[in-house]
Amino acid sequence: MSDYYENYLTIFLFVLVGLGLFGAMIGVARLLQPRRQTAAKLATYECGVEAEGDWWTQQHVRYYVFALLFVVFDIEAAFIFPWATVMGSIADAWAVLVEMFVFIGILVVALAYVMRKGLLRWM
Amino acid sequence: MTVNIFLILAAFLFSLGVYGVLARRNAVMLLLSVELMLNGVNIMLVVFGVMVGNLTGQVFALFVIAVAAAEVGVGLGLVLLMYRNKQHVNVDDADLMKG
Amino acid sequence: MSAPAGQAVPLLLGLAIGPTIAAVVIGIVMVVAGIRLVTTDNVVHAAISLMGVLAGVAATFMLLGAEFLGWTQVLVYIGAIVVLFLFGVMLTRARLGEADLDAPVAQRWAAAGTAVLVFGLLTTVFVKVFGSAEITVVTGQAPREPGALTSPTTAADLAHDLFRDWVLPFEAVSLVLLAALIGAIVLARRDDREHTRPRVARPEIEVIDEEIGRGGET
Repeated sequence: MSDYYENYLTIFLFVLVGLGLFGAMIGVARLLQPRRQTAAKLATYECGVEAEGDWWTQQHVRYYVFALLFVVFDIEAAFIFPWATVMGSIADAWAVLVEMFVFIGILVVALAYVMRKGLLRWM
Repeated sequence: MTVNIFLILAAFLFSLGVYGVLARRNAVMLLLSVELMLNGVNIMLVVFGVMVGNLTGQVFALFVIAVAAAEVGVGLGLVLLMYRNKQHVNVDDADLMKG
Repeated sequence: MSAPAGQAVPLLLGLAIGPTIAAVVIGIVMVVAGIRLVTTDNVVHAAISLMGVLAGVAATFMLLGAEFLGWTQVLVYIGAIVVLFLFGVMLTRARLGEADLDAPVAQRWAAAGTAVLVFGLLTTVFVKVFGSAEITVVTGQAPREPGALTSPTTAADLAHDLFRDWVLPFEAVSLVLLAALIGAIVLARRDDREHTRPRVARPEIEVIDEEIGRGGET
């Protein structure tokens, strides 16, 4: 009955052990390392072009469209997972199949809209 | 588990959202605070669903998550439009419709 | 809601005490992250704090037996919506550490008062109505009755309800998403037109005709 919690407890303990190991390794390295910092050591790149200007740069709006598409199809996936688990056993399998295809169809319209607007082309 | 642990936690998240929406002027911050409120409500839905003993609460919470995504999409679209027209996202200055 | 028979002794790990401790720990994490969200001066930090709150909510869902919902929260909220927020921050250049993030002090006090009022009201109602009511989350009902809660709730349990009782809202969600996507694109996209490319989809002769026609007008 409490298998459910115990499973998650196991995962939690794994995470704790992972964090502990990470912390131990970094901590030991920090304790043992000799620290002699020179200007060359503290440079951003050992070789390469130094970054210039503000770190904050304006991004292009087209990234936002891709993020939006990602969100929409992420939600679609979140609904498809439960659907996929019951397709084999649910009572009105055909009706449920049609329901899901109507759902996907409506979202395909969204994809078609984006494609028609030419937003999927990287130009 | 006591129900009230979860309910009071949810109420606290909701109140933080209320504070954020009222006390912030940056439009992105406003949207972030709205998310806090939605999540408080989601916790309440799930807790009440467990208390009543059916799945309706969870189904509702699922729909809330989906609609929240749509809300953020449109909300940030508005924010981007505002930024393009005004070069800032301060909601107090969006007063063109003010009489 | 009623206490099951076989759970007389509250074991430390895994049973009655364990989930309560977990709930309190998760609650503290969420409260800290939430307060940070509404007080920080940095929009990116606020978005990251939101991630903390959302992770806490997901953990709360799992604690309440809503396993599928918890993972959906991780998948959709943390995986997608926070990303959308970060894109929004990057695109709006909501400068960091700027003073105009917050409203004037008077308004902030009013906001705090309202929030305290809301919290007090909700808490009073909850304490009065539910008192020390207990919930038993893990029931593990073996044969599933339609609509009844099985806990932990798997994706299949939820799907049985979703695709039997909630078909219309389910389809409506897809329409909402479609409308939101189109709306957001119409709102956000305009600067793609400014430095636009020639439309390749149309025959070139049409484009030329149009340009000649427009040239004649002026």
